[in-house]
Amino acid sequence: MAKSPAVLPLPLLLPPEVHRPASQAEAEIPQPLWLALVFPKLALEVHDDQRSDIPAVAVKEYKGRSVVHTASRLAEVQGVRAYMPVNAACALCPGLKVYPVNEQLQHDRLQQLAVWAEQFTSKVNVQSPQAMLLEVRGSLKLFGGLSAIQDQIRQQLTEQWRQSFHSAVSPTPMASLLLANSGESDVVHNKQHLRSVLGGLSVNNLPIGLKKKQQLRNTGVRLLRDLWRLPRHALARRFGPELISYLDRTLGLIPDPLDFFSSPDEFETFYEFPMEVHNTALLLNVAGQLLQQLVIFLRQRDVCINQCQFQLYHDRCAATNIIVGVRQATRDHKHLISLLEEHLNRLSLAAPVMSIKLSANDFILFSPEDLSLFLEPELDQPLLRKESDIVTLLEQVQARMGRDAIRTFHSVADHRPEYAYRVNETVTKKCESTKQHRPFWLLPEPRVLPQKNHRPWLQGPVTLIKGPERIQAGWWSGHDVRRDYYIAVDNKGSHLWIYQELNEHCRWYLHGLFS
Amino acid sequence: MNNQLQTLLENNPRVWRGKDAGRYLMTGTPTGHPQLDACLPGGGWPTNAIMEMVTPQWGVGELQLLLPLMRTITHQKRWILWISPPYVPYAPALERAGIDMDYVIVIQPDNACKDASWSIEKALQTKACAMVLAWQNGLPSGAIRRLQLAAETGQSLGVLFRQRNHEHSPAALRLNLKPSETGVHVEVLKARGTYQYRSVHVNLRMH
Repeated sequence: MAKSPAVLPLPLLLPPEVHRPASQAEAEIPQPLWLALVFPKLALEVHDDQRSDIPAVAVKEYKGRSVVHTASRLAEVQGVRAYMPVNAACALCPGLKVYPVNEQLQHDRLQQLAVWAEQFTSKVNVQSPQAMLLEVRGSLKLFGGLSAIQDQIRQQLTEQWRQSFHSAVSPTPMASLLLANSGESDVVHNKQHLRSVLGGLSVNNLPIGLKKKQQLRNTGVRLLRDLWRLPRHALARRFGPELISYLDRTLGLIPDPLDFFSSPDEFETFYEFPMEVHNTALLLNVAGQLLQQLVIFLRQRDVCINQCQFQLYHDRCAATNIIVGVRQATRDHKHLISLLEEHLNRLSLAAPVMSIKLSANDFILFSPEDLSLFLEPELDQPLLRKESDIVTLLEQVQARMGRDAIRTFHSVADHRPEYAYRVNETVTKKCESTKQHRPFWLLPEPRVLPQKNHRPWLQGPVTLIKGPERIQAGWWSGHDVRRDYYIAVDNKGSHLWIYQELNEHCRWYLHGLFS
Repeated sequence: MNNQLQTLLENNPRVWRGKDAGRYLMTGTPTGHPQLDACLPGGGWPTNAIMEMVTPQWGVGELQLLLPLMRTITHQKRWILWISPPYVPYAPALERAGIDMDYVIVIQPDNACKDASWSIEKALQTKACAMVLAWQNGLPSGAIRRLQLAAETGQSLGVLFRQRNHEHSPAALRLNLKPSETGVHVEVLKARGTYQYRSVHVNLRMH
């Protein structure tokens, strides 16, 4: 029988009984592999001013008293333990810094960590208040093995996040958590070895109430191994069915479905100025840094944006909104900055700015510019560059004057002159251009011409030189047009396109100018 | 003469002396109207420059004069920007005249002269945009000088349509247009590179 090692050699701390071979059949079934990260000092580490060289504790209310929730390493060395009254802790450890437990901060930090963890796997589960689970089986190949993933996690958590943590890997989520909570950094690859690895753990690590733990100890159950020797139905009767179900899930006897974390679908970042800010140059500087964060966020998700929103908060006025929009979805930092600059240049601040917020939602999948495989340097590149060149220009115009300032005109097939073109619509089907003579200029609205002796008059007599051309259409759409068009010359020599309505009024209108 | 002054006079194409007229021969873009080419320095529209067309009113044939150039530019897939045109550019007629409307973009600022001159300058600086047509009456000569520099940066031609004749405009070419029965009468008010200003009648098929 072929033997395969069930356990990867992971540094240190590997209990000898784990080294047991698994049968080949089992090894072939890909079992999930859960990496648990537990942050035992999270309650302390969320406070930014916390320093490692000063003993500190986070305290919470328990049975009407303030007790220690988390103690820093220095405090622990001096004998401070969890559930110790605060005054006792202070007596043990002079100079102790006391923080309240802030659940909101912890929650926020965990969410940030979960976003960070998504770079390793798409299956991240947050276990409030201070742990999370990563399914890493699917990522082993990409990262080059489990130890490579663990190395990266260790490095980033200590260097970037300055977060102390325990991690453990096993085939079931609960077993990983249990191992990590107890501070063991084991790696278990096979379900069948779970019993022996977990067996040595103390029942104190079980996620059950203090009272039940005491009860277990009183019955002489100290280790998990003792627990497994007890008959199931008796255990269920005394400690509730939840404990049995938990143990089964831990050993992988019953499935344990989890909800996966999905990163928030909007981006928001905030900066509070240390002093009131009047000048836009400083604003631009800070906004640039916020945009940099946004760009990193977009890169991580491989998306881009059509618009983002800045909010400038003042002391006693309503916040100023700046919407930076682009015509072509982007995640280019420089481009966004130049657009924002355009906005800020035009902005007159109603009051000094206290803080600034950048938010973005509505993300679009990033699609990089398509370049031809055989790039002909003279032909393709300038064209591509030009394309983006004009888009940049239009975005600047749009940022300054609004979306409506830019117009394109395309003709469509319609006999009525005012319906023969479309504004800002891409007409895919090119219509046959009209055979008739049409003026280059059209008046937005036909202008009524006064009449003298039944002849049209425009600051002088108007001479008809060509016509009539009858246009009669649109009766089916409610925009009925029945007109006789003429080409005429006024006394200054301009060539006009005028028409006479074919109804009882017989009024003359000026509709266009030949240029 | 001072050496430095001599170098400046010789090497700077923006400085020219009357007696050297024609020394800095400019190469113009053919206008498509042979009579007009004959009386313009360089044999056509100036390149990388600003030109002015003064007309008594809109619609005397100024677009007709520019039509051949616009046709060439859009067929080269370069853009033409129209900034604050007085009326609606009528797409069916322009397409019939051979202009690809995909490359025509109209910018209509909210009547603020500042916005208009800003967008003319930006458009001229953009290399993708080969021609900028702008209908602006009230541009000071300082602004036109800026536009002239922008046109050189972006290698584009800027055309300003104006209804009043402003003396001392720094534009490279200034034309006065007067309508006539068969076309338009073009009078050269100023042309960089020559001081022999002539006038010519260009026959246009108005309709």
